[in-house]
Amino acid sequence: MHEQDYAIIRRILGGEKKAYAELVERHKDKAMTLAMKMLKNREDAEEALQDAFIRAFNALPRFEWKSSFSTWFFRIVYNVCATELGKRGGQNIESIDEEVDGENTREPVSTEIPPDIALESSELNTIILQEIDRLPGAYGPTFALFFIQDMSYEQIVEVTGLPLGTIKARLFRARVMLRDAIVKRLGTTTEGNRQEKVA
Amino acid sequence: MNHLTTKQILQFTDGTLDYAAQAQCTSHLAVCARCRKEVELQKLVLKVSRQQPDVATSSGFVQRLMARIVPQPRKTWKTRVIDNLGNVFAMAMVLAVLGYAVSNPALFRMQEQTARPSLIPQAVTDTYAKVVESFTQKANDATKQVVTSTGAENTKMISLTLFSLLILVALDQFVLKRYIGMKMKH
Repeated sequence: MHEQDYAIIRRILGGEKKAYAELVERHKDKAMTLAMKMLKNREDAEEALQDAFIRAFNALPRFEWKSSFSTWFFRIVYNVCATELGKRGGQNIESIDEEVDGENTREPVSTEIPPDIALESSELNTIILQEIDRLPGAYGPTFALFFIQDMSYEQIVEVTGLPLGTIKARLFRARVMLRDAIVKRLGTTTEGNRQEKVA
Repeated sequence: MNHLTTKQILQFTDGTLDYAAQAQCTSHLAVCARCRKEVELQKLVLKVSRQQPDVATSSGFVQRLMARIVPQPRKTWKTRVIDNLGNVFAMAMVLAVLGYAVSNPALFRMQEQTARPSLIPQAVTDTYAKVVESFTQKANDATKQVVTSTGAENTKMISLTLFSLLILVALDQFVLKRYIGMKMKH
């Protein structure tokens, strides 16, 4: 994977600028997923992605070969999207800061999952996907980088430039929020089903 | 019964607990349906999120980007001519038809009789009208015969020109550009 990227980068730096299209093809969809998670709007995400690819192209001579192109490029995408969010008026993606080992992490979960819920329904899958998209602020991108892009903590630190503790805290909070939102939706669904049966 | 904490549930799901803690959680889960359900839900969340497909960019994304990164070189006159070969051919045909029509004065005799007076001053027009009138009188039926045939030829020529244009536009759009486009791509 990295070797193919490196080979393409060498061709580009050797003067074959058109080879950049191959690099774009390889990374555009994953980068688009991250941009969508951050900006939550298709047009803005595509514009940010175009901007990020142009910046990456111009910065390619300064690419440090020790990291993978995808991690390096994701950092550019993340920064472009964060700037865009800042322009939208006060939406600062870096403003949340918390500790992962706060007291709340030691408590058992408060609300119970409805016992009559089947955890293998397609309806539940849809609910999960919808709630992932609804994760607020910086939680969505952090969750996406870790679980959807399958990045390690170290890679996320490199992409976001945030301390490891903050990343872990965000992931933890994101998963708790996601769990609560899903259980809430399941509760509503179960209640609705019960009412239908009674009627 | 003391249930597992949120952190324990998440770590158990991820498999990041140490051996002793893992064993402790496993024995608790064997007897606690509530915590088991929590672990099942977390596992499902991970499974679904990892199966989530990437968001595809719109079609033409790479082309638009590459046009911004690597600007197209300026076209040479040869490329421009080849790109517009259909139009050039059509124009040449129209010019040829018009050239033929202009070089044959008999085709315009009818226009001369009607159009010329309106293009020149009134005084000249009046004199010209008298000359034409006397000429027309003298020419009589022979002239009428020529005018009639000229009118028919004019209509025929206009129809021919329009038809040629139609054929050439179709040729340009559906044959030449496609053929040349394919040839240049390869």
